[in-house]
Amino acid sequence: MKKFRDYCERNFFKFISLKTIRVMKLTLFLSLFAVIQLWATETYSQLTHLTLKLDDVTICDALKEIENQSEFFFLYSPKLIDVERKVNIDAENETIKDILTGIFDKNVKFAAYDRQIILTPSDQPGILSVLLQENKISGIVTDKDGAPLAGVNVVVTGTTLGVITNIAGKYNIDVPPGSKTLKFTFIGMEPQKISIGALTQINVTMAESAVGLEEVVVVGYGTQKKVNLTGSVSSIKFDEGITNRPLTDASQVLSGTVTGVWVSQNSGKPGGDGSQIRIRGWGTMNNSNPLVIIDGVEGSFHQLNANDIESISVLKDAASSAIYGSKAANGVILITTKMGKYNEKMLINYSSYGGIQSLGRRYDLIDNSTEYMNLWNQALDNVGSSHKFPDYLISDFKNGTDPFKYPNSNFYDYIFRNSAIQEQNISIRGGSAQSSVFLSFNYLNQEGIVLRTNSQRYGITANLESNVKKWLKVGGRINYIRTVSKEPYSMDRVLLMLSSVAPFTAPYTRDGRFGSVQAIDNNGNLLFDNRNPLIDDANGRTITEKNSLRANAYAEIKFADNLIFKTTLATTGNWQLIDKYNQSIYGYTDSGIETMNGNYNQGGLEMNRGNTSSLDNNLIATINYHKVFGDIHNFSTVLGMQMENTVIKTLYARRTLPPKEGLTQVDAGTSGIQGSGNMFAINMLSYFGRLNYSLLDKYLFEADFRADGSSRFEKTNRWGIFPGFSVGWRLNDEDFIKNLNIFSNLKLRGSWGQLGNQNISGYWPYLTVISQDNTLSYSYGGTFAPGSAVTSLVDENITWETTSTLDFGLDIGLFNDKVTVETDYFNKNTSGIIVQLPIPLIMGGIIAPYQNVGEMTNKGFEINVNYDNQVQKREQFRYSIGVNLTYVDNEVTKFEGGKSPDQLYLIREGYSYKCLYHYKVIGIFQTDDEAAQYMYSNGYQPKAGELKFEDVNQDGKLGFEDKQGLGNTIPKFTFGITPGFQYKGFDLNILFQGIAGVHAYTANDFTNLTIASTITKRWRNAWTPENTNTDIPMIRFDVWDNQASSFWVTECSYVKLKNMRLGYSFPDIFSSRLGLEKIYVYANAQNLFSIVSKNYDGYDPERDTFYLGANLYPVPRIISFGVNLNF
Amino acid sequence: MKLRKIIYYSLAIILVLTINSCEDQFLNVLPQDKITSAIFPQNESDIKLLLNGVYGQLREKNIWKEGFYGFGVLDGATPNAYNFGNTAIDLIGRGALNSGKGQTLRNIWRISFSIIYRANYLLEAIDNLDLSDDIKSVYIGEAHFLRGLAYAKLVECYGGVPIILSSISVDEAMNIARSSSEETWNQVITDYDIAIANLQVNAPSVGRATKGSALGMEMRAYLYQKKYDKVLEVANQIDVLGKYSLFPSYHGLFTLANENNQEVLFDIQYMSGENSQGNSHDQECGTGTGSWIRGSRYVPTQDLVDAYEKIDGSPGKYSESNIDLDNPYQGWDPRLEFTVVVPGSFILGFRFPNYIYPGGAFNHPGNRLKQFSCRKYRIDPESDLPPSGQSSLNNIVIRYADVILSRAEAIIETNGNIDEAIALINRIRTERDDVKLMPLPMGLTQDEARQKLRHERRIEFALEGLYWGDIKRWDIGKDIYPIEIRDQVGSLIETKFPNGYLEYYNLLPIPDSERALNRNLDQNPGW
Repeated sequence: MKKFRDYCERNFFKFISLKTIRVMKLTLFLSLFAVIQLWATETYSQLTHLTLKLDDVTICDALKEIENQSEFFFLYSPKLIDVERKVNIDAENETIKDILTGIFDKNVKFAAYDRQIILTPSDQPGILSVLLQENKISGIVTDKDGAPLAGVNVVVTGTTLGVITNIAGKYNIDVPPGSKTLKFTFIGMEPQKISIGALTQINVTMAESAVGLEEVVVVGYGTQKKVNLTGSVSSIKFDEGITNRPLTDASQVLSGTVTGVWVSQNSGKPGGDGSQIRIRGWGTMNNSNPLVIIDGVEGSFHQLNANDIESISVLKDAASSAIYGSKAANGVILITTKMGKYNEKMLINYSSYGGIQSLGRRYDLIDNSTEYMNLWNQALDNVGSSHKFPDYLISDFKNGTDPFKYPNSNFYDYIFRNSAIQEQNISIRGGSAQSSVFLSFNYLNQEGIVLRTNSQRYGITANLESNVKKWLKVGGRINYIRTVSKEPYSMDRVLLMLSSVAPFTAPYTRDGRFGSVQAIDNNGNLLFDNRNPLIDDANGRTITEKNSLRANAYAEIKFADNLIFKTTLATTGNWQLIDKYNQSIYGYTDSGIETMNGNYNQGGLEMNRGNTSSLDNNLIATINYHKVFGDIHNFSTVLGMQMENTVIKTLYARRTLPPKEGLTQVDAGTSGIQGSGNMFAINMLSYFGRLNYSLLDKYLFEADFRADGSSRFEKTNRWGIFPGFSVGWRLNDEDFIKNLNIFSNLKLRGSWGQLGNQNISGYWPYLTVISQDNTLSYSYGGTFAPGSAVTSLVDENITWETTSTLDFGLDIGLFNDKVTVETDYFNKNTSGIIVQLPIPLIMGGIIAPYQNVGEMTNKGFEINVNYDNQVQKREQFRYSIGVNLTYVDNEVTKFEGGKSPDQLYLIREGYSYKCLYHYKVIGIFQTDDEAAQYMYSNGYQPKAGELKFEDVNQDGKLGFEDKQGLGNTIPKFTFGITPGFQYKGFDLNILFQGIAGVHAYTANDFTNLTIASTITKRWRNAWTPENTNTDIPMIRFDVWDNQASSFWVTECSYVKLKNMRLGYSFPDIFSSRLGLEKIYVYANAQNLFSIVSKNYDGYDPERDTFYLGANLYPVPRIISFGVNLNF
Repeated sequence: MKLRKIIYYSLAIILVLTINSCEDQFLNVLPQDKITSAIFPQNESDIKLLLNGVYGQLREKNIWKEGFYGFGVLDGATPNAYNFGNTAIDLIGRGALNSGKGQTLRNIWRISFSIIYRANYLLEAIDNLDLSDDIKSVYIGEAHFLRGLAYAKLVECYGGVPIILSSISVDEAMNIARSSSEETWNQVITDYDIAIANLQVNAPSVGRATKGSALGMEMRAYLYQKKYDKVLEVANQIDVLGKYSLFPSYHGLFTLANENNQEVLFDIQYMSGENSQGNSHDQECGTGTGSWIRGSRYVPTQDLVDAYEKIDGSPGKYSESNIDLDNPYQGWDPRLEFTVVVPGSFILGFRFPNYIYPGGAFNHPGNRLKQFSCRKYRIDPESDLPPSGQSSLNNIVIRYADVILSRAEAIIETNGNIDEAIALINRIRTERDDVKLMPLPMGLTQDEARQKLRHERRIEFALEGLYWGDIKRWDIGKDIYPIEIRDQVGSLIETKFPNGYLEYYNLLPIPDSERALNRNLDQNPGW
């Protein structure tokens, strides 16, 4: 036997030296041996005819010559076959069989198997069958608890021969003779190599790999082992836990969980709550949204159902994202949707929750009419005007008890409600040996917390993949999502009315009609216009239908094991249709006077429909190649190209004056015909590539590049080239670290790269266009006279913005990765920011050109610390906690040489982008004298009780020179804390999320006293000659205090209990009795409470910090209960 | 396998090559809704587009706030009207303005310079076009006329401003300094002179500027500069045209039926319909009878009403308590009826004051002056009201009555034949069919005649936006301010210029935002 093995090995080596590529074919041949009969079919050997003329050559040379001329090759042992014998061959178009018969005498037998021909001595008849005897090996693979593992890859080392374990963990494999080891691999487990020897039964127990370390992370155009990452990439695996909460937008899962990523849900409007996502701060003065890639193609979160997501990777540094080039400057979020596994049992998952939403924080309003009128009168007093509300009216309200006549209304109680939310999700995944599939259906129904708002969404996903041939894999993913959201004709007006309705407004009359202002003087004169938000809430409809279809098909061709060509054709379509119509709705006083809300239906009754459709087509082709040299040099590369074409078309139609109310379609209108439509297009062409090299698996290097051409720029400025480089050092694989026995992981990373950005509004920024629209037109004697003008300047040389990012990272794992720490320092520098520098109005009031002139840096660090006691058993107490913190210091480093105009949201060198900039309050004037002395030469003479603004240049008047920075609106810190506990099937998961070092400007109709406004309770503490120790100025209607100043700036830092979930997983015994694989039930609370500065007034502090904060749809608090079933 | 490889590689190569060869084509995407500068302007119709684009600025949407001409909105800065809220005009009228009130100050500045920019663009474009001089001259004339209007508005409001006569770079715009007030006025006159030389007596279409328009505005420019000899000279030239006379009806002058009548030298043209070429004056001056016709943006005051004479020429003191509510205008200067809605009278079918409306009353919390409303330029009855923003009623910029009164003023100020001046004033008081007032007596002193002229001018042009300019050039601010604005029960609403009128109020401050971009722009003294 040993002899025989030697014989075989030698010959294998011989063949390798002959034609290396044949090795693969030989193994293939051997594995197929059992099913192929000798000369059984009309195979190559029979069909091929050769012409061969050789004189006096050795048999060995003759065989070589045959090999050269044909695709045949020979398998034999020179010890057994005499190949040194000289022969003459004269074959004219003969088959190989005939030729060989002529060469050898009867003591050599030959057998052809397709292109392989085996020569054996005829006196050793058994040898052929022994030679070709494959070894059958079977076994079972289990985890350390003895549970069978399905889907484990079992591969004969050095070959492509492999099988996958079945549901019971069993496998059968036929290994060719000479095979030495079997390799067992499974995601999340340590790979194992087992020597075959003479074994026929190999059972394997696989150990879990140290947590996270063998994790595979999706990166641009490929995947990478997390241990080999050199860039800064955060990844989130979507286990079921993550989606067990009311996620109305899939991006919400990133909130508070990923370092460097700040997600802010800025609205609670059903169907319109798209979150603002920032990766490492605001990278540019333009669109700072990150690039979202779904299954390799650009998309957005609202096109997704969170339950369909398999994993998310966030590429934060430039090197990781350089392969996405010009769109990646603000970071890249890679989303992979779920796909079945090959050889996986079909698994049905059903998940469902239902919940109640309610309004959380709100403005603290004075809802007592008497108090409101008194404050109002006092405000008039303070500017020397007479009272608006007569004393008898105030006293009537004070003594009156009839709520319809003397209402004290707080409209939060009427406009808001507790509303239901529910979601149903069912999915199927699994696969056969050749195909895998994932199908899902999802339905979300969200009633809004504001009356008459709701949204319904459903989505269908079908992901399929098939190994058509050994060398060909094809797949396709189709996802359709439809959202229909309804709200009143003008949601903005509902919110505006809410911020300006007086408490003496009755919500409803006693006979159930809409109520009106009840502040009526003795002449029957209404003292105030009606602003009952219920009327605007009842008015008409805005119906938004969003349809989104993503379809992509791909084919993967394996030219060789290490050379894969992949091409993807993807189409993403978005169709949005907005229908609107309004109605005449009146309010009535208790005495029956009909009133109309302020500015109600200003354009009359109308019906309109607006349509925006966009189609984005992508063709992506990539070639992946990898190769290991000398066992220590590991190379892999990706090369690719992409063509992208986006077309957006808009259409709008409107008519007015329907003959009868309640008609909702445009055709119903009889007048006021308006229509518009336009098309925008952008094309991009890109080439990209990546090279990974690792030495000894310890020293890692990566280089990326992308060249992008965009139709947005003029021909000569069209192309941008974006490189990225990164290095890594896996210290824990060095002996001197290994010997310390402390670190389970220790890696240093460093990267640098450049990225581009072209996300500006406008598709042709380099073209001077002559505008011609109605605002430029005129009329003569009643005849329309179309006009035109150049209304904006252009810079023809406009080109890409460039963001360079330097990143250093350190990953640490301690105590077998019970403790993991990931930290990064980054310095992100964006130059050539495309901005419109303000230009003087004397240029003609034209729009400033887009120019590449701004520069901005974002410096900061991220740290993510996780502790997990790694207990696995159900009876044991498992606890974990994760803390992540990101610090970003934003600074505009170049903008108009520091001479940028003063504005509240300042953009100027040396300041944080859009930092607040205006007058700083340093107190309240206590006497008129003090005011006159301080503001001695000001046009307006402030008085006692008014705000004292710092007179920076001390010229006795308030001017632009006195403005100063009042705080940044971009948070310096964003953080999340995620404790989790598990015990006996129960689990409790908590997510705290917050931001710090941030301010917001909050002058709005709630916080401020204007001629139509609510009054918040803080005005109770306004300055009066008696109440001087306060920071609230005298209550009054005037412009002085209303000037933008630090009085209206509020610290906006907060810590919020974003999510808390208590769940219970039923024991397997119980669930299997019901025929289920898993039963999990949970209760969830979202947006439960926030801790925020006491000066902060308003809704949930998770909001747009560039916004005043009044007319927004508050984010609801949600309590929900849900269940997950697997069967 | 070999063959397959070859096919794939070839396909890939073909693909890459194809893409390379059509790369330029693929990346050349152009807008399909806009003209680009490469093909514009090419002919007369392109020049006409440009000209209309200049005119278009005259009806700029924000006039109700800041007032380029803006009907009577500028009267809100004077004792004639109350302008509620914190609008620009209100701030000016109360002396509460400061240079940082960006949106307040910037509109006149912006619109004026926009007209200048577009006129300059047209003049440069037409220079390079091969058109006959006849055709060119009209466009050149109109462009200069419009540029003159803009510089005149600027110098009235701000004093001297940067003079820009051709396209300038951003860099130049950030460094250019102000010319003197005199230089700016000279530019106004230069532009008007070129316009007068080039324009015809009758325009190619009604509503475009004519020789008379340019003469009229030049006359006003001289009046504002107190160059009275020149006023007389230009007024004569206007009369030589023989085109203009008083319209027989004061009331009819401001109605849709009589647009572009013989009294109008120049007006802002509006049209109704969906092309957004209308105005929203009816909504801004509404009286609270419905939702969108309730603006009350400027409201006449007791002070204005008090200024009207009785029909016999005796001074009036109009008061709600001493008039016959059934015949509220009985015995008063008829122009009161045509200008102001007073208690007892009707508008849009409702009887004033607005707090006695039977239901449907709308009370903007900011408007506390409810006893009066505007009638001039208002469309009545309600059934004729256009949708918001679609009123086609033109806004008269200069009319022949102004020529008469300017001539009278020039005679008085040059101490010429006072009786001739009085006779001119009496034309206004007696010539129209619906305005028959007691003529003024002859033999007045210069100062008496001056007071009569000023009174006549205030009443004739009440709520037409001219009084603010008159107060400034007559230098009477310190005499008439402070003035209290009170509601119907005598409650104080606000006090205009509570600290009295100071000299520097005559000019608006240069907007801070402009000075921040161009440090060579000096601020007006006092601001």
